[in-house]
Amino acid sequence: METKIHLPNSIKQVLAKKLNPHESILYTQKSDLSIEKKFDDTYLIISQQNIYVITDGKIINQLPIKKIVKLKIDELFNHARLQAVSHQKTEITILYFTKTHAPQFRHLIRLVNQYLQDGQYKPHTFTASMITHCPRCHNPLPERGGICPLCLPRWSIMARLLSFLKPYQKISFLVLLSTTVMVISQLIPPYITKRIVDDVLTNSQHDQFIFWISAMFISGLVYFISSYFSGIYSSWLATKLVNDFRNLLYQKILHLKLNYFDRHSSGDLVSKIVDDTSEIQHFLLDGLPFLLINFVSLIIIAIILISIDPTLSLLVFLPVPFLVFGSSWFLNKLIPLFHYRGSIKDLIYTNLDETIGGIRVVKAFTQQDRHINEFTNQNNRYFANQYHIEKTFIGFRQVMFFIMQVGIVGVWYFASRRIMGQDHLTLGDLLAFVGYIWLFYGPLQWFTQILNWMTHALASAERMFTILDMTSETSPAESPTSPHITQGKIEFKQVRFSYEYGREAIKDISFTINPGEMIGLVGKSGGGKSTIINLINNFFDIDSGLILIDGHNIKEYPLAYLRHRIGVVMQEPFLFDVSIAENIRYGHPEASFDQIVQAAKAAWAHEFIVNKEKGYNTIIGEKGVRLSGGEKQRLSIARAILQNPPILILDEATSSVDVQTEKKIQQALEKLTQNRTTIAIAHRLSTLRHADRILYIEGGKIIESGSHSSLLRKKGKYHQLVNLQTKLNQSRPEIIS
Amino acid sequence: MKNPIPPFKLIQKNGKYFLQFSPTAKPKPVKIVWLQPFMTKNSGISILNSKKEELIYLSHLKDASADNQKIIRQALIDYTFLPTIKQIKSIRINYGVRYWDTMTDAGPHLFAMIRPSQYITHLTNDQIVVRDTFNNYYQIPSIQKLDLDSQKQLNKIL
Repeated sequence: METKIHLPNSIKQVLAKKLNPHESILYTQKSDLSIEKKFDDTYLIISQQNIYVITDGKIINQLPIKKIVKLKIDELFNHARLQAVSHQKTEITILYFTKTHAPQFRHLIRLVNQYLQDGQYKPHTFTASMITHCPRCHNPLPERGGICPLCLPRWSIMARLLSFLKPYQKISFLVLLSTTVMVISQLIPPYITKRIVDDVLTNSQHDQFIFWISAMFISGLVYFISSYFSGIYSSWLATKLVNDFRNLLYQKILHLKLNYFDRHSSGDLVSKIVDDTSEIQHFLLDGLPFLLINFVSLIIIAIILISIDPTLSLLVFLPVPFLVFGSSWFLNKLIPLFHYRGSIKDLIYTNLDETIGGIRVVKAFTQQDRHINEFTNQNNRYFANQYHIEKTFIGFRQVMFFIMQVGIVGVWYFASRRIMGQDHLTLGDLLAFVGYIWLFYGPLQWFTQILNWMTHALASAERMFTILDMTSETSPAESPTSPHITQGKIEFKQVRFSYEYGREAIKDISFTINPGEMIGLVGKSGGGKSTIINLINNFFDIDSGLILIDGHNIKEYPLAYLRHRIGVVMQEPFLFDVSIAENIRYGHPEASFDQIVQAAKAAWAHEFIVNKEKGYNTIIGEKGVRLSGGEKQRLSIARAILQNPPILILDEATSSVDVQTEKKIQQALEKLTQNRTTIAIAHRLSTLRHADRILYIEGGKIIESGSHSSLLRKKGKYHQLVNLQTKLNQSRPEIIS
Repeated sequence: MKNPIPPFKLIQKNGKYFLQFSPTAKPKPVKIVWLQPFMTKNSGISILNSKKEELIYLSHLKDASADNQKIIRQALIDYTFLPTIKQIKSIRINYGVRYWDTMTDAGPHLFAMIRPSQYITHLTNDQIVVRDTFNNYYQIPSIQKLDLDSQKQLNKIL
């Protein structure tokens, strides 16, 4: 999806007067702050000759392009400013903008600076993730490039939702059939009442008595059977559909690109899989059948009522607006209360999660009373809100009942007068009328609620479809012609990469790692070390350049194969709540028990496993909670050894363990790194004692490169780092050799 | 125990700020920031060099000389943009999204928010900070001081 800033006519008119005939516009960008930092639409216009800033139809800033070397963004608190740097290195503030427009401006200055540097013009286009406001209603979106809930295309979403019924045509037909029978059987008893009263009781046609009583019994029986089957079939269908949705979503999410997970919290994703699908399930299970059944029965009842007595029907229809609008008014009162209840629930859950999860900290700092007070306060708020909801609901039900009662009293009054006045209306007509009125009024009060519910469910469906429509990680399928990784040679050629538009994490990096070489990546946190590792794993798509493994672009390798040939030992190994054996064979499920033991021995993990009561069958608890940091790390090394990859990545593998454990892990790693291409990130430089080369990474660039000794001789950044760490570790001289 | 603050002089030139520890020393470009921007305006002030290392920490603005105070105030105004919500015209709730139509000290502004439990921070019982879906912050220094209609709107979600 691409779009461009549409300049308002007032801005176009200003520009038409200002621009000379040979001056064309290169870039435009809207900001939401004026130069006085007030909320106001401000436009940045960059032509070949000038930079213009226009607010309220006036040019408030104009700067000749030839005076500018580059543009830069100065990040301030809760906003930022765009500045121009002149040849004299003076910084001139051009305009301010809030975080809403930050990605667009970051992207823009990269393009403009390239243009200023070499005259190369690239158009400024917007991807969906840069869109912050609904193009249709101009309201802010709930997330960048997200769906505007106010402009949801409800019916097309509903159609897509129902298209998932295709594999279940037979049962869908049964649902429709049983529901239709149910609706019809529900409408029969009031008519039979009329016939019994008028024909049997009033006109003494006693011979018809058994017939009508039997008919009433049969209609009741048919209603019972049809509603039973309608409920069973529709429950199965709705649950099955949602089951399919959950499977589809889960499969999709596991194949999404990694940057999606950087933008969305795990809670957000769990909510999408659980809450959104539950919302759809409830609607499909209860809401949709309600709508279908009652919409059809309302029409049929209206026809029946009019056919019995058109005048009296008008009286029945009179309270309808009060019922519909009254229920809508009440529900509008209730909805904020429900939202409020959701917010308090969130707070209570967060409090419980934090205090139970962090119970050791709570106890260590003796903060139980504080948390008990917080919880009591939240719980009291929940009680007050829940009572308010119940009170409003009781009021709602009683008012609705009263309106219906008024309608029924009106019918009784006018119908009785007409019966007493010997009009053609009969007592049977009256009783049938009253019977139908309850069927007619009952569902009306819930219609607005169900329609509101439908919108919620459709919003959930739309969120689900957005994920299902996302681009998954793609790679060529495995085939006999697929390249193979045997040597482990890695090449980066002028690689550029950014997580966000215009904010480069890797800036034009090139290096080669030969087969079997061990490379250390060092530098400050956030410099780009982990990003390099992520790129080798093909977790992200690079902006430009080339990454080769054994002479082939990593994009040529099937993803599963590539990642299978790269072993990773992370700083905080992620272990699953299964047995030790299952955790070791995670990447190699077909491994035999002997292979697992050999890998554990090589990783110095066997020695602690044999001392566990259940040995390799020990269940390690959620995230390995029953193991120490060193034990977890050795399991993760065993997992990598079992995978036997030609390329090994060690991401801070020993940073969170004590000295004794570190020694054991080092021994394990020495075995593991033999004859493998190894890339190790380490803050503790001891890990890199045996590295063939060290790359010092800072600001997304390689600042220094060479062996440990050559870098020390160079007395640059690496030398500073070693000195600093030597001072810090004076009590641990073995760390820096 | 507080560390003594070395004598220093702040200079403002072309919208930039510089610090000098002695009249003969070369002025260093600095950034002046509030360490608790949501809470108090005159305390917790840090002066950072271009490498983002702290050169001076002022626990209170009055710890600086009168001339420096003037420059610090200006620098903090330049550095900070935290709109104060003066009036809440409406908070509409549509499908889980809260649309705030507000009047702030920076003019009228409409923004969206999702979960109040995560997007509203209570600094005190009366003071809140509100975050929108694009991570922009707004403050309400005193709920009690809002007009009754605004309070009513706020009570819909607080």
